[in-house]
Amino acid sequence: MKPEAERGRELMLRLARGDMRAFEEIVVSYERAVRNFAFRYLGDERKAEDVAQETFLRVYTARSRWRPDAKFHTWLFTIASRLCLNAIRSQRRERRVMRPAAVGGDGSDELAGAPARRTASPPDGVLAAERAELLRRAVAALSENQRRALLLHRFEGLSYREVAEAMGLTLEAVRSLLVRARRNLHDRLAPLLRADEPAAEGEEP
Amino acid sequence: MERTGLCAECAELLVPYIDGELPPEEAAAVAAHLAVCPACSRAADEHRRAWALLADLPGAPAVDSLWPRVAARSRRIAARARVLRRVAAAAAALAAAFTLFYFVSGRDNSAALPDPDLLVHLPVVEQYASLDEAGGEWLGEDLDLVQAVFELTQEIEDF
Repeated sequence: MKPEAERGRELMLRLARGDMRAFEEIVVSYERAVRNFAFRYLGDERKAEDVAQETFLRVYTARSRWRPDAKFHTWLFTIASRLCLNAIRSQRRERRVMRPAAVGGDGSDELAGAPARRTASPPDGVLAAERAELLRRAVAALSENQRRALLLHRFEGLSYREVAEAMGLTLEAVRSLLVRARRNLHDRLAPLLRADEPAAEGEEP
Repeated sequence: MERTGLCAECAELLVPYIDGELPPEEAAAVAAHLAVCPACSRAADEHRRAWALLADLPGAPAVDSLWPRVAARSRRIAARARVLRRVAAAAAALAAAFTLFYFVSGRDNSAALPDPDLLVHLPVVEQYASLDEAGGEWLGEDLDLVQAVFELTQEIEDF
């Protein structure tokens, strides 16, 4: 077992025995990763923070049920990923209710990313902020499952098998989600990929 | 088009291949193919660069640690669990007392008894307390019920 996994396991065992210092260590060590994950998934800072808080509270309430054979990191992101999904669903419900009132304006497009602040982009060399915005929108445009699989695998370092476990899917389904995610990212990332091309030989203008 | 001249079979395998998620034999086959197929080799390279690009996807802005808030909320959960255990014990005692009362008096003295709704709720209290005992999750929507249980505690104590 990797030292990181061993550490999570140890902290969890201590927490199960009621050691609040272990709980503090868990929160402090993993809050950044959980918040980043939720933020990248939901595209909303406040909601990401709520999800992160709730994730750790679930860790706390489940402390005595946790099985030491479960990998802590995978388990933690299983919880976070479910809570994110709940947040998306309630967000969608809220929107459905709010739509007739024409509240739209802000908030209604924070996820899919309506064309925000279009600046005249320099033809070559994409600015960092613009690059970030392009990436954000490319990822936001993925289906929820593709986005979840992508974030868990690429950012949280979960293996396909662990992603499958966290999402309650088969290994085959995860593989196909990531292949499709990569395909869907293609068009949206094309400008960045072209900009980064090492030596643009034989590429169409 | 990206996939012009790209072998159909290889297209499905490239992403898992660069993710290191193919079984050894399959990975070896893809590697051998990439060595001789410039189109697939270019595609694999593009996948790699796409994944590398993603690293720049912004994370959450830095804020203060969540620990103080999480600690406060977890303390409240623990306190609630203690209250619930007490309520469950009281509820069990109360239920036994009622049974005894009916058995001894042998007739309907309901005027002297508390709200019958209370009796109906007793199993709920016990259920919640045992759920909590098992470290059950009753966050979110369950909070309303927990609130109701709290009010019940009050009623029982008043009684």
